[in-house]
Amino acid sequence: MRYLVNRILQSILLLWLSTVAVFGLVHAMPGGVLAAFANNPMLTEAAKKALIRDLGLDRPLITQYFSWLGAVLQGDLGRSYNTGQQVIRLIGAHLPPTLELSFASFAFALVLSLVIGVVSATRRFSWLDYALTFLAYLGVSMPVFWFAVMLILVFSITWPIFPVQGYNNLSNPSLLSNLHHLVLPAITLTVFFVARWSRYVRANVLEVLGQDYVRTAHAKGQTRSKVIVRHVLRNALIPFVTVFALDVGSVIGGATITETIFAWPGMGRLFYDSLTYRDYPVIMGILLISAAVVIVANLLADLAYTVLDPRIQLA
Amino acid sequence: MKQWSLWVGLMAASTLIPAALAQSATPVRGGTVVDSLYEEPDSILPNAGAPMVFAEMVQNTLFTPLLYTGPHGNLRPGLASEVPSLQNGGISKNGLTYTFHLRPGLKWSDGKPLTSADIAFTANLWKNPQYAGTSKIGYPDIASVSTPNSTTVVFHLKKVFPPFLYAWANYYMPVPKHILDHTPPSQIGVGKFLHNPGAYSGPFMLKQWVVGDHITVVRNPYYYRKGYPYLNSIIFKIVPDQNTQLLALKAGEADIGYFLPITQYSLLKSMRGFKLTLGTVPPGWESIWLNEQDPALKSTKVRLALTYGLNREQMIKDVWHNLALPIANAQPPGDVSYDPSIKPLPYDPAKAAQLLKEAGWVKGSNGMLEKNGKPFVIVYSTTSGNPWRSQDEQIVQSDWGKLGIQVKIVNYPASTFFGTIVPKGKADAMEFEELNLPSPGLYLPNFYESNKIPPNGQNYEHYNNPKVDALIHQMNVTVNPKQLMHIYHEIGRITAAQVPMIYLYAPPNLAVNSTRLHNYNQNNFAYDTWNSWEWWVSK
Repeated sequence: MRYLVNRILQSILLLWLSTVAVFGLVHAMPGGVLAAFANNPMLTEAAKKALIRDLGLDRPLITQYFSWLGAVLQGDLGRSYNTGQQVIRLIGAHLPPTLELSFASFAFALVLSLVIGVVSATRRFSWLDYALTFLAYLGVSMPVFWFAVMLILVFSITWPIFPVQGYNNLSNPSLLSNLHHLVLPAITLTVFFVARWSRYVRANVLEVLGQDYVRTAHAKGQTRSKVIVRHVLRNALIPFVTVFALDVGSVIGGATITETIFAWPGMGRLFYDSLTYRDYPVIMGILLISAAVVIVANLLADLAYTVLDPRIQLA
Repeated sequence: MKQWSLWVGLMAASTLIPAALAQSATPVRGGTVVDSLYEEPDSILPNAGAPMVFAEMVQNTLFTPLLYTGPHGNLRPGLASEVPSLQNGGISKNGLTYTFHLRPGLKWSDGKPLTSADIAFTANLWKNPQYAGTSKIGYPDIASVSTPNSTTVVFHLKKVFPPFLYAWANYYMPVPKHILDHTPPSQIGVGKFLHNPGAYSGPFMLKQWVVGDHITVVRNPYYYRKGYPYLNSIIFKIVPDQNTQLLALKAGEADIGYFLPITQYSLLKSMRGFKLTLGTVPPGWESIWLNEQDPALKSTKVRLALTYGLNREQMIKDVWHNLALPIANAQPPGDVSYDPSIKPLPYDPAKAAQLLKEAGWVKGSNGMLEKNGKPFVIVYSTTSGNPWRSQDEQIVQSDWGKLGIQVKIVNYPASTFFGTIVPKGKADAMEFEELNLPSPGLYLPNFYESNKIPPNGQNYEHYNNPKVDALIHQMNVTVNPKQLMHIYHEIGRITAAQVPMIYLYAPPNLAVNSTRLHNYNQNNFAYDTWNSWEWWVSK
């Protein structure tokens, strides 16, 4: 319990430091929020000054930071400079598609990488291991934007099975249509994660397979599958949980490339657009939420260690 | 001439023939068109937010201006019943009073009457220094607005402003007083109305905006053109990746693609079920703005040498498939002040070398130019990630290199380039495109007047010519259209000869639309949705 309280306090400190970093970095970006207006021959200097005042950008940076932080503590992430909408509402609109895409790809990727990793490790140096290793390297090496476009070319243009882009049928939206639209972006992300994760699982399983307790389990006459699931996999998962937690956190911030290519209206798209327009409140809102999710995911990962291995004590 | 003939040929093939076929068919009511947008609009409230092509495209379907420009730049009445002029008394002889008469019985999409009070409210909002609109040009010149009756609005100006009619044309569409007048002006342009203005005067009205995904507009039952629009709805689908946009068009998921990249020309040309249009004339012009803060570029001889020494024909041929037009100044073909007697300077490297010699630049032992021991180095910048600009840069680097000039290329993301590099003059030569504005009175002062050097305007080249200043001053107090045209041409002649910027070409605007969509016609002075009320789809 004490450990948990300590970790939560640490997390709050870390989150605060991340707000300072986020605010500092965002404001250090060249161009500035008025870049979108700068090349506008129709806007007078007086109007630009009025805009700066309306957006509160004429105040000292430190005042802007504390006024932003004060509002954040009250649950107000501010309004988008670009569209005037509340940041919390913008994030609220973009989060569900990202969660849907992330969970779908995580679920498939998790199952596939465990199976591929274990099969690859238990049949080490077999033709199957070589084939799976080759595919994993292929998956890691393929740029996401290229693979996504190839999927579209094959499954939307050559064989028009899935839609090219979008989140749902615009004239007649339905759950089925939404799932139909989900397939290609989910495959893109799944392949990316399977390629990475299956290598971790393989390496960890290989390491555990050589342990004395595994040999003992075999010697006790336990079946091969029981040994793999109970003794090998459980121990092999501990380092993998760390990688998984980090990836979960990063994807909540949005799979920018995948979402952009498939016109999937998620957090990655929102982040990309906000960066383009130097929409500080939105950028800061997304980064803050991503940082929070990464911190929480890591905290949960630490707690998961104790479940996977009772020898680990959190004190 | 070659470019012109190809241009005309393509126009005939891609625009005129389908247009003729479309005219022979009978319009059908109903149906939905999906228009793919490369960027999500920032605002659907007119004259709010940053200037943005895709925002104005959507706004055009939702609101109607007092006047709008047809494909050839001529003003037509929108909410106004006629275009004010000296002849019909709409413009007073001293050029200080403009009277607009509204069509009778106009209504907003919520059924409330649209009257002169809405126009007066809009004018007072846009002229308010607290309101940060997209454009403030012309509105601060309004001394007062009067509304003698519900269909008449009279503007009294503080001083003559010849392009005043254009301050009420196209994207500068009146906004609903009954929705906005309870909100302080400083909050209207940065708040919730950007996404939901509440009432509409255009052929369509907002049904739904799913942020990041699509905007659906549906037929406005109170639209003033009886029987229009033909379509039930238009869905603006946001597809932020241009490859995906093309694939979505190919798969039949969208009917329209606008502002498409020239690099995809071959693909666009051969897309089945679609027709490619290039616009009747190009909507903008690309140029290299030469920063005269660099002492070398202050010399007219050097600027002329850089122009003679750059093979712009090669850019047009190799980069633009001969579809771009050569230009001589900032008043390109299609602009109302275009003067065909002013010809673009030819490619003449020998003359360029001679001019550089006359300006005191001589070749050193390494074959590069130098003056007083200093090498001739030009820092060249443009927006990164534009394939055609990268190709332009290669031609610039090679051609100027042959003259003995070292060209250092440093490119930036658009926001940094336009936000910092261009206004602060952090490069010697800056390449970018300007879009055509309907009246030269709106842009000539901004580009060339010496008091418009940043931060007071867009004279990024720091050009200072007392004769041009005097002409601009004269232009700002002239009402007579013939005299105005004479001044525009005179400025055009001087700037073509002095080249404060190197005028490269006017690129075409590539758009495709599905063959089931009819009456899709590009307009040089407005984006493609300008006539969405007459779009219709075959069943």
